[in-house]
Amino acid sequence: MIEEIYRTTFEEVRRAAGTVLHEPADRDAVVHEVYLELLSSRELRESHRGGQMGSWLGAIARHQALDFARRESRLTDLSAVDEVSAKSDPVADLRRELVRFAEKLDPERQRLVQLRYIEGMTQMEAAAILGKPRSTLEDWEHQFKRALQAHLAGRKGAQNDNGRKVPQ
Amino acid sequence: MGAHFSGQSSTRADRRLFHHLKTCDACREEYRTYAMLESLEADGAERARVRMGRGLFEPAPKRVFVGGGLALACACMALVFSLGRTHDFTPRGRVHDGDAPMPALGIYRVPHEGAVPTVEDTQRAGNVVHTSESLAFTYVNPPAIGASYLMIFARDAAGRVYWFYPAWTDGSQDPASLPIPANGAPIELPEAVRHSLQPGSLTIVGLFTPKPLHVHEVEAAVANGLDGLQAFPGHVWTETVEVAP
Repeated sequence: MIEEIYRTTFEEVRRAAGTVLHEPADRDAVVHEVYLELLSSRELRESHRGGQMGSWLGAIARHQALDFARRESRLTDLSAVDEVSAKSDPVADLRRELVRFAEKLDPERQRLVQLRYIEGMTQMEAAAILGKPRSTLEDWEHQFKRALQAHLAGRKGAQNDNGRKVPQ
Repeated sequence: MGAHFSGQSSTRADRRLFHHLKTCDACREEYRTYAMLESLEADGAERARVRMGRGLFEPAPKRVFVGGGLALACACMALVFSLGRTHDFTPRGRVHDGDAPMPALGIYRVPHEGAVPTVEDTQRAGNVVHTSESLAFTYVNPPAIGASYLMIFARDAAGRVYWFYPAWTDGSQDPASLPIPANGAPIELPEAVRHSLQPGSLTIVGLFTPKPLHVHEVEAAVANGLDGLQAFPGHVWTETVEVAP
């Protein structure tokens, strides 16, 4: 029963938490907490008085996200919640970084990055185009993600070394 | 982190991860990279839902009934019950006679998938079980000891706990030990259970107690190791096997 609720409401709840918390780890931690509480608290389940389950859980997620942001000081301006930042799109930033990073890879792996993360193909589709077993692409992606993580961490370290304030 | 995003982690590990993320900047950054890459994938939203669901809902083990005869088969095999180790947690107020028969389990591997297995399908578990196999059990509960309840679970080297009896498929529930008779005869439990076991060392535990216990309190007791079971009166039987792919 609760698994079915999770299945049908997950996106709405995640979106609601994401309007407050732009950091994926924070957003997903709050989403996790909302469903964990739904699982463990009969009181919470009984407090649902009808209506759309997704909207109700979304409101709870947003409320918890605001609490989380205040508690963890992750937002400096709560009135800015829901405003879409015109200055920065982290996904677009990541795409640009991906393209730069992929230039260091061999041509097949470059093509994989292009197909999977720029053109949005599934592993099966990319495997068919590259003429490789899907399991090979799985391995490549695993290696690639670790290398990308190290690359991004290195860039951040370099930026910090260039005089940016390092968060404590 | 990699295990979480690749579907290799457990419910408990995922819960620990989300708790940990709140306080660890390095892990938050790593999570961000993985999550944003996931969002670029064609089925990213679905993958996110599935991986986060693993931190909420324990995967339901597959349970199938075993054809009758396990107990009869092992009745001729006293050896079955001499394997494994019984820890001498004698019920409080009773002095244990070192030569008395002790409660024990028999463990059987059921290799077949799909069809209902018969006793011919089963094999006495040796030192190795495979990830694709179900496990079935018999137990013996000597009248001299007279335990009234039984739990069977396993704990792997990473601390993951897998429940066989009682079944535990809904995290919001807290099922209790099985009531068992104390007649000394080998008794088979009717279902073979297949968990998604991880390769490595696995200790199977038979917890024979005078009173029923609940899975939550037992999980809490073994969070840091099986020594935690000493908090409960009764007898603990264990056998360690190697899980192979």
